[in-house]
Amino acid sequence: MLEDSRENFAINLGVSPDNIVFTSGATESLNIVIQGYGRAHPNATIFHSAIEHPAVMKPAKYFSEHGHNVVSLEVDANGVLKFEQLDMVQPGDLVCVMPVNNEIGVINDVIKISEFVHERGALLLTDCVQSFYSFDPKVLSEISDFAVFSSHKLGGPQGVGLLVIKNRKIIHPLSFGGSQEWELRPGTTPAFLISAFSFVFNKALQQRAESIAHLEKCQQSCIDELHASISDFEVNAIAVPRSPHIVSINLGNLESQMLVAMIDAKGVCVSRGSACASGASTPSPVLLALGIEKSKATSTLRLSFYPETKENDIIDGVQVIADCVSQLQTKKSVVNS
Amino acid sequence: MNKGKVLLAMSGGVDSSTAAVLLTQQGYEVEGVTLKLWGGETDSGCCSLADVEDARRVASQLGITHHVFNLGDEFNKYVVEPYLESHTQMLTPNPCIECNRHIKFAGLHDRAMAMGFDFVATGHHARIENDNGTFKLMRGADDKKDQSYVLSMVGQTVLSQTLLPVGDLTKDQVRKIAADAGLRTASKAESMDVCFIEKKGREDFLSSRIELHPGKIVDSNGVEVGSHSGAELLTIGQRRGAGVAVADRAGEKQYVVSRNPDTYEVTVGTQDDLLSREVQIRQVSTTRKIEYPIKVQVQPRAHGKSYDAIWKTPELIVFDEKQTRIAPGQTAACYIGNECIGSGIAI
Repeated sequence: MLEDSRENFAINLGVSPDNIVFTSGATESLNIVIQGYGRAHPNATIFHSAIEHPAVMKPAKYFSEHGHNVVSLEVDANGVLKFEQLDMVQPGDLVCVMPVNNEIGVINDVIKISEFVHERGALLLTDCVQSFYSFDPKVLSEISDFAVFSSHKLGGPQGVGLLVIKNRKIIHPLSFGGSQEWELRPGTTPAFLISAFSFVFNKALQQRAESIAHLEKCQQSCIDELHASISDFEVNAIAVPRSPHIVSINLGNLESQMLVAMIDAKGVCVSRGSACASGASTPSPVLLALGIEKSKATSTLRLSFYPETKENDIIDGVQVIADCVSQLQTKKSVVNS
Repeated sequence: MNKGKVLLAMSGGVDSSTAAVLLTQQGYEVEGVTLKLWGGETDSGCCSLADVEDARRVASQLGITHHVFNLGDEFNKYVVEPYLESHTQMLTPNPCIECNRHIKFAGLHDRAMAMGFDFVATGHHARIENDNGTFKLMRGADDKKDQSYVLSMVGQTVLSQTLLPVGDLTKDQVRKIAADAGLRTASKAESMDVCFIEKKGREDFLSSRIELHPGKIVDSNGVEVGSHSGAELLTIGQRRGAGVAVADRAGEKQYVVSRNPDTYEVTVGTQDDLLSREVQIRQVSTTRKIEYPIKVQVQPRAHGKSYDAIWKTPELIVFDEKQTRIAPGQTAACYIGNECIGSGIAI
């Protein structure tokens, strides 16, 4: 069962089965690469875009605090990597870029980035968790030295993910024990979870074109509905290509933690985009990296859709959001100070 | 019967957990909120991850929605920064009062009302009585746990929209209700200290944030009797501290009676040197309309004795007999019997 799944992924991702490492999810995969590469290459610089997921930012921060050279690559006001920043990359360095940002959905041209990074003799890590509806996973796998995929974002079980790794010898393992997963992820392998992930991945691939078309309709419909019912908001990164499954909106000075609580109580699930371990809202580091001021970075709602989302869900959901926004806008005393 | 929508502040402690049990039993539509006020990125210190999880678990067991609000910026602005500033000015601040004034009964209250709630509830040990439309703040039933002092600055509008469900109970009763409901917080230890001061203590907290000024300790005649390691760390009426014990002299206990903010010289004296007939107050607020002068009992600390006095004008309280001076910065709360009618900060 396990090896069937590995072969299935290898075919779908255009790599050899021995390039596939099953893990518990994207966070573990990213740590295996960043920490593993950092330990094996103490003189290499780790570059990451300023809007990476905390699963990249935090291990990178740890390394920078322990004597490694870590560089955060600036992005523009839409979240697109400032390409000239890559001029700093030297042979043997590691560059971490997410093709699609998890909070605002902005797409980065990782194909062009890959070409440049490889011309420089450096290596590319792509966090592909949010990329399924913007890039063919096989393409991402091909252009990356390390590519990270997650099961539950495609509707599969939680607790399983995979790492595509082209050369297993260039990283040190983080955990030691059994010989599973080429000794990069020792411990009993959860065959049922992996098999379910494989099944869901296959199904998602078969329906990918149809899903993208549906999500594009959902996204446009959501933005149209929002414009029809809320007067004062902006779509983050509106000027650049974004993944069709995310709409990130900014509501001026309205505090999104109140808004999310109200919307949640009415049965509609949206997110603020950024929260610490306690679940408390924090100004989104992604939005701050875009140059958005702190008060606005706490006024963001992230709406996301799935292939199963129905048109009516969007209409009803936006109506709930609009009602809550309207209620809060009448209470000017509680806007952000 | 739905008696209205309540937003309950849930700290993850036993009092607010039992408050959740009682409110749901009483027919309110309850949602819980835990305020993230301090602790930084790592969720350490107070408002810790474990406390948030406790609150979330209790809410889940009772089937109520739970939220986490980050009011950290406001807490820093209205509670922590003024706390530090007060110490640099040789005052003795009460940060719990400022938290209630600005965070729980302003920031949270305003948000709850904006969100469409009818009431805010907390687990404070105090009571609110509706006396023909006047909302009176009363001491909690458990004398030892009474927290009316730290609510003494709350006014009528907020009182009319506040519920204090555990105020009628003793602490033992509160714990029993939580235990009977199977809540994990039933036997949880109480927090006693200033919540944002980490385990290393007040001196460490202050010394890492403000400059401490060592100086002389002198007696009432100006004769040097010792030294201290930071005038900011001492408070009026204190006997020991700042690294040097203020020893008994001529058989009489010695207390800090004043601090000079310019020279950082600290003067010590006897209990008699601390006595005063009156106290002037600022930031005066009353829980309901009152007319001056009014006979009151003044409570100078969160717990402990009250002293008979006349609240003569909003800014002046005159004691019936000389009393130990209230340290500048401390809150003087005024009571008529069990009712707290207001307070001010000693000048």
